[in-house]
Amino acid sequence: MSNRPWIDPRLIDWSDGLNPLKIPAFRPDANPFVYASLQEDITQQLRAAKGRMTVSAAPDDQSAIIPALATFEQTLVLGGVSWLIGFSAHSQQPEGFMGQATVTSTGEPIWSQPLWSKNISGRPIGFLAMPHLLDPGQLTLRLLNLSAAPNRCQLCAWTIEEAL
Amino acid sequence: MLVPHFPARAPVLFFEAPPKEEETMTNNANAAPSYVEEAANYVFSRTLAANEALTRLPVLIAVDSDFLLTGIHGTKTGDYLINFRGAGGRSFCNAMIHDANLVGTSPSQPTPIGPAESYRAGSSGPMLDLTNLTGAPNNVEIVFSGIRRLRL
Repeated sequence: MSNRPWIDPRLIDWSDGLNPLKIPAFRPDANPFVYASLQEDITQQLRAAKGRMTVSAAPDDQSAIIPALATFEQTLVLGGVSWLIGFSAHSQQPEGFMGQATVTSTGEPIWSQPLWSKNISGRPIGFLAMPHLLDPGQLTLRLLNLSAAPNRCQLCAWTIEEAL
Repeated sequence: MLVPHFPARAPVLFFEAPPKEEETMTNNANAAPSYVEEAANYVFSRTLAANEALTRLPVLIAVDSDFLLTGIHGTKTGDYLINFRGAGGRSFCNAMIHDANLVGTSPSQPTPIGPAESYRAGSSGPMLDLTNLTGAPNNVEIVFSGIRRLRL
């Protein structure tokens, strides 16, 4: 720590919520992956842009409960040109669910295989290594309940919509 | 010869000149800012009754400064669903989502919000929708952290 360069606080853009210098837990010695993700050129441009962050969840019905060992699929329609920056996931049952996200227009999956919900989520956002362009802004989310009981669970996509 | 008793006066302007366009740190870094920035935290604290659902709960923004929301964290005693509105009035999420998907649990690692939502001074702030998922009272505390922008 002692040989880290000192950064003048006046040079930090504190109004940028995604600035790793602002959040200690995102600094390179605390979380190098997130730090690298937030330092991507595209991410920096998005941070400086006059865009808007949004969260899109599936299922989007607050009372939706996925039956035991059942699959739920929903296509999210996002506004305009959207950049996908990460995911968060929550499961009421400890077994969790397997999640997969697919770019609707191309059929391209975000992960090579469906991923366990606890490996999707961060705290709470699990950032992608770099933002993924969604144009048109459509994303299909699929959840497979791993519990033998009905499960109230959600998979959320975090995006930044470009401002016109 | 007539001598005027009063010196000629400049015409009175009844309307002030229009305010200059707002400067931001990102697009005009070299210009002298017309505001002072300092850290700010707006705290929302409430005990939700069993299975209670509330909508449009204001988090009032101080009248002397705008507020740029850059992070969210909080504590709770039970699970709940949450959504809130951005500065333009649009919902931040497309649906009510579980608090674990949105609210960070540590002050050192709040959920980052960027680009920051800019709430006007004196506005209702991030108006909250909350639904208690438990059958018992739920003490919810949510901290909206960010920057207070005081105009000079």
